Amino acid sequence: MTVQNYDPALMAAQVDNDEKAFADLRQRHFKARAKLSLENEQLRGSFLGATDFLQAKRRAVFEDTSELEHLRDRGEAIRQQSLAQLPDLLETLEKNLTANGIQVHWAETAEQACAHVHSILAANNARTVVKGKSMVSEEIELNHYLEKQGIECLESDMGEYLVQLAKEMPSHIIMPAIHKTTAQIARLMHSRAERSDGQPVPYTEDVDELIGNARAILRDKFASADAGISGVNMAIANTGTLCLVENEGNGRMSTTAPPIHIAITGIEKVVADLADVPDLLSLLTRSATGQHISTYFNMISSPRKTGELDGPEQVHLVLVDNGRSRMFNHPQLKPTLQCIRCGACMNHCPVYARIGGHAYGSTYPGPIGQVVTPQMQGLDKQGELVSACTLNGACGEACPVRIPLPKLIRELRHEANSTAPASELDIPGKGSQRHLGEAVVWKGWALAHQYGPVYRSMTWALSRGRSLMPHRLGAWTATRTMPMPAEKSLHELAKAAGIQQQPSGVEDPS
Amino acid sequence: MSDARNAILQRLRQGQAQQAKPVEVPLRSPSQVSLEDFCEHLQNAHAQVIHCRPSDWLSTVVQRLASHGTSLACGRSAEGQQLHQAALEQGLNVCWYDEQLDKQQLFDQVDVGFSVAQAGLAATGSLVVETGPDEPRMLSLVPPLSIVLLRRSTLLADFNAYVQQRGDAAMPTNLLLISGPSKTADIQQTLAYGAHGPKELWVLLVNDVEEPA
Amino acid sequence: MAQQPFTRCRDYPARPQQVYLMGTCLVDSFDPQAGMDAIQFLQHHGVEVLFPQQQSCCGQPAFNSGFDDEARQVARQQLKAFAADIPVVVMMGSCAAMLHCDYARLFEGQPEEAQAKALAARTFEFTEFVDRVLCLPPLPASGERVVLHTSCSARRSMGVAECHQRVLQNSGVEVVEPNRVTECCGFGGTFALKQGDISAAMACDKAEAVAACGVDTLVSADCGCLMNIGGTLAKQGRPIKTRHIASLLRQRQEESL
Repeated sequence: MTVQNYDPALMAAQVDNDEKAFADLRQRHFKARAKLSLENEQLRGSFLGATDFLQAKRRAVFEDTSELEHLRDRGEAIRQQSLAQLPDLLETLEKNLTANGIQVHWAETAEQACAHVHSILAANNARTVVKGKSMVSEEIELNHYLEKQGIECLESDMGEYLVQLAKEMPSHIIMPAIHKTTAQIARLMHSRAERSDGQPVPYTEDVDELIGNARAILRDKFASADAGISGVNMAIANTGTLCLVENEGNGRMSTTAPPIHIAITGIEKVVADLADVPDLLSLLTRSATGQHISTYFNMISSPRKTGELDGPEQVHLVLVDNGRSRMFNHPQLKPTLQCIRCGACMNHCPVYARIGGHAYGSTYPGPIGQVVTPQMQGLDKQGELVSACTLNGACGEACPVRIPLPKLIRELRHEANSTAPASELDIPGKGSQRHLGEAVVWKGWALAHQYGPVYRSMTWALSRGRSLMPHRLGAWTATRTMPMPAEKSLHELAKAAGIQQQPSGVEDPS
Repeated sequence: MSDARNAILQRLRQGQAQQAKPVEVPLRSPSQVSLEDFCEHLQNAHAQVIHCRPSDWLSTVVQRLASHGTSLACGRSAEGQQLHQAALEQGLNVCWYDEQLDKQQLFDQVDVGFSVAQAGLAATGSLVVETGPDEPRMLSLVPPLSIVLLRRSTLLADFNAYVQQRGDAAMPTNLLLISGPSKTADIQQTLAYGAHGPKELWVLLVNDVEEPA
Repeated sequence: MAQQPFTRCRDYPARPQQVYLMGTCLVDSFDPQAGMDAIQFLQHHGVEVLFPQQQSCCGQPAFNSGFDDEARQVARQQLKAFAADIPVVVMMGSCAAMLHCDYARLFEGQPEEAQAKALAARTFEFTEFVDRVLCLPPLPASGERVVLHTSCSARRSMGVAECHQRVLQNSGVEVVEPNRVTECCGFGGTFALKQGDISAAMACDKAEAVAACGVDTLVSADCGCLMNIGGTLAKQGRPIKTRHIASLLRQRQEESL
């Protein structure tokens, strides 16, 4: 493909600018991030286009709505059953994995999880690592940790690879580079990707060629890496099996080609039996990308066995808590752990569609991110996320395992404003979003609305004072006119019309 | 770090005390086995379905590969051995996937990998491959063309049906569902095939079922 | 292409002699005529409407902001105002959803829990009541076209999107729906104030989609959405008026007399 006015220096500068813009965005507060994202026309186009596309794909693959609803019932039940037995299942999983030759490591915190991975690598003198997609590794910031220890950690999922090349973070849990246009990716690949012979890849905007270039670079790494790291979509307790869902083959490569495979997962991902897997898999791929099934579903139950010709000699599983056992103890917020990380909630969220994934400033964006992140990092640090929701319910309607996401977001708002004393198992930063000003407003609001006469005097005053109403009210009137109260309230009109208040014989409760 | 283990389990047990028993939702009976669906799904996923008979599958593959002019690797499964033999006889560039073939060679020099599926899943167009000594993990992954043989008689309705059929049988080292060539849509939702694994998938559908008259 | 409408299973009573009307605080101050139109519409069909003067607000603004104690104080007042065992017809989908879906959680473990659940069971959104309980014969076509915006509470919490459509079609008006019909307009109560920029972006997109229908009337059964979309349209200088569905139904009723 020929490009007009081809200028490598200019391209490199544009790529650097994208990186700077991202770094700048990361520095800011949520509102400022959202505003910057809203003002970026290209970004808004990318996200709206992508979410429209993914919504349509999901609708098409769930043609039969009665099947969909039954499957969602199944999915919810399987996840809830699994959670109900979670500590037992984890012990069974550990026992069976160990019997299969897979080593299990437990981590309470992100730091501990990173340390486990590092010590496995260090013990085997592993210096180069290829990674399959793993959101938990993003959550614990593993790459950063390993790089500080001098270990090269290369992302191999195409989207993750591009995001790593750009020195950014994923903006979607399933499609990490969803925020980038093909042109941006073309510039990025040409400016930053390096072939094994040390040469830059030729400039192209052809998607097949771009993927071909990345493929060539990454295949060299798969063949030579000392270790592979992956996530886990489901872990089966009774068979001691780790399941991975993917389309690209990089998951299989990372878990098969290098001599060591380290899988990382949250403790909530365990199910009891193989029989629990098919329907969850079907819900996952159909909800995520509208595919009946992903290209690969890999169920790993053992390192290389005697007589086998390939596969890693060591397989490890790092079980990460990082706040999950605390979520497990909250009666209202426990359904957070039902999540199978399909991303359908973000694909259907009108806020996500407008501000995009980076604005959330967390590993998990969108509705599930708004629920998970404050619980992991604390309401004091990430509490504002819970206000970025209209409670419209589109996420809850799309969720394949029926997590009541809007209810959870509302519950978190309650926790954020709670005045109850905090216990050890509470969300960190409970009550931290309570501000005196807002608390006073709601107290006053409650007083005005809990007594009929007070309320009626207030609406009376509002209607009589309508000519005095301000014409500007903060953000509201920047893009809207000021709503005007009517001359008389409905209470007054109904009273004037002689409308009865109660059935005969029932007293007025004033 | 058994401290971490104990602390996590203890917190979970604490939370487990206060929960209600969740409901059970039964599995829906499996859908019918549809050969048409199976083929359609695979074709939609960009795979080629090659219909053949027990008597002619070898010649079909060898003929197709001859016009490709590529190097083929086989495992030691019964069918792998038959194909190796047939390919040798036809003068094709064929090798065993064994200790002699190192990883770098597999990545750089082998163009075609041959695998055998234990079952097919009609509802999703999936091939079930169980890895082991005769069925190496990378043979269906690394070479740019993956050929997978499936017997018509092993076609099942869906993954649930396969799980039921397995019962309590021990799991293979890797149990794979393969439903097309490797692909990605990570660049602006544009599909591209051959992301990391095979760019092409040929499904040799061997019709070993007697058609009713 | 519209998403499959979500329909909830719920038992409906035969046409009652009496109902309560919950005007809701927004209708009370900003569109009281819609409340009077609803009263007259229902009474015309032989249902006596009671309007307790002690009613105020369902409590949702505080509840959705996480201020449960304050929400409960106000909600208690509604339990008292609508105490008799007759249906409560609510002028807005979001307030109906507060009573029908959220009161159980709000009063969980409180002395009023049973009372709140009983109220939830006899709460109906206005179009839901008209469509499922009144079951009226259709009126002749009027030739009028309106754009319909169904609030997210009406659509998802109450599951009455179909009722909105049917009562309008039944009244003889032609219903047009905007692109991305199921998408939120960006109101979300205090969201519009707390996250003003995001809310404005959503409202502008919705206003754009409504304007693209080329119809001069926007109807809804949620005052908040109407204020949000209507206010945005007005600021943009687009001549599209907003109406509560009840007012349109009353108008069609009068025209057909």
